[in-house]
Amino acid sequence: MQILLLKYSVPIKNFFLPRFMLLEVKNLSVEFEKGKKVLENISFDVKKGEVISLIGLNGAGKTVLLKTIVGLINPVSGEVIKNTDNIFYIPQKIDLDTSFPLNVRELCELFGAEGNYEKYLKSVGMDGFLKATVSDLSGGEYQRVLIAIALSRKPDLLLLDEPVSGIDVAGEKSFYSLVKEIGKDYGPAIILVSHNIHLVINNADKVLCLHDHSCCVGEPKEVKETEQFKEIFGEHLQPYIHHHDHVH
Amino acid sequence: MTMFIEYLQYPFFVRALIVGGVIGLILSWMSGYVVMRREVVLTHALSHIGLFGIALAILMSYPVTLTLLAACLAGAFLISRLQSRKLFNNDSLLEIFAQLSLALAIVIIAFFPGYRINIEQFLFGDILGISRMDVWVSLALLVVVGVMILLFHRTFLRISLSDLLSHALVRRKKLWNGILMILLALMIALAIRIVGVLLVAAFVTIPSNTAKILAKSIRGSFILSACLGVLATFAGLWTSVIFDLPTGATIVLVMGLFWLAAVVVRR
Repeated sequence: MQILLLKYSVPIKNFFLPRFMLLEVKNLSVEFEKGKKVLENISFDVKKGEVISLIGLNGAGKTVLLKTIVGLINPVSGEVIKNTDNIFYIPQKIDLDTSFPLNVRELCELFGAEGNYEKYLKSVGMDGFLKATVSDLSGGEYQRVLIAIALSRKPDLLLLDEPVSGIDVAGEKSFYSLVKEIGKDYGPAIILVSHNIHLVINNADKVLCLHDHSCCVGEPKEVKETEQFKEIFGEHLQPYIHHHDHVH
Repeated sequence: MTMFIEYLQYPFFVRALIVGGVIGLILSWMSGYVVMRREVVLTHALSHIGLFGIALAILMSYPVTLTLLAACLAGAFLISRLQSRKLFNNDSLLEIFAQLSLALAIVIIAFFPGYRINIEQFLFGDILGISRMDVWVSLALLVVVGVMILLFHRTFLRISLSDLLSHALVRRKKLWNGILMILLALMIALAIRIVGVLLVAAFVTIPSNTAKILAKSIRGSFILSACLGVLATFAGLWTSVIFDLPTGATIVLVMGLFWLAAVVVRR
């Protein structure tokens, strides 16, 4: 009986993670050179269906955090406890060689779930682009195709690294609406890296602000109403500078 | 036409066609993966490691083909291990291997003063001097490498197209990268016998780069690349025997003509 219990027991790491919790990051630290930390003691959790916006200045470590979550980078300390292996990461810069005549259909067949991607292409408005070459797509169209590919895999957690870089302001707004719909209709938790503080506040369930260390995690409405936030960001769309002398 | 058929009577020519056809087919197909991964310099490194293997075989009186194969495999393994440690830029690492292997080969050969070694056949290839044993080795490699590509082309394509996107889909990506490198090393070792150390990189550069500007899809580009590789090999072989030209270089020149024609057509 004891042997059976050992054989069929769940791994100790996930055992204490509640079912509704997809991911828990605990005291995570990453460094590339000795003594030069990129991330230090980051802690947060992700629940099923949550949309989390990850904000921070360039070089704050947002991409490093996402890559550490999926296992592309190993931390020096801390842990990433996952309740699922079904995580899809869409990087900021795709390393595809677009000089090859790769069309959307082939891209979906290679990286999406077989026979399942057409439905999702339709949901992101890209169903008419199956024969289009990937190199001919605009930035926004390309991102939509990648999201369709990701959704066809039915991920529990979707990581989007600056998905709106290279997209105009109108496209950004439409993209965030799409992200909201995805969360509602398909249910994956989403961690989304963004520089647009205004759209982040209006579209995320939670905001994680990163600046060398995890500065703050909280609901956007709470964050938005603090005096410190208004003082730093104002009420207009503009580049922001984050000061770490406040508590949420 | 009679002239072409006439050469089929000669066993050395038939052997050359068989081995050349195998190399042209497989290596030109694999050139798609190599070009996508931006690892053309890898071919250059492996071919120079092959030259070191040849020099070692001469020094130790080992069978040349087997030592060449072993050297390429060992080199591929070492490169793969060092690449995963990410201490160096990829092109620097590969060039270091290429230059050190070349230098070692030259030093080893220098230990044989007065020993007449026809190193030229390894630098420039000697497909018309292919033995029966080489034919069997190439057919065996065709089966092994061909089956691996047939079974795992999708995986190889995923890891070659995008390291980041394939991370979620391909388990044990390091293992698959290693397997692909080993298959490439095996084919390069064989190709050195046809076109030589200095020209073997042409097989993994030119066909794929020609096909990708003509084809309408990835699938089409791989098929076209393989066809062009075989066609160039056969055309180069025949041309070289008819006009008494160096065979390896003629094959590469035919490939170059295809590439040039593709560039003109595409414009």
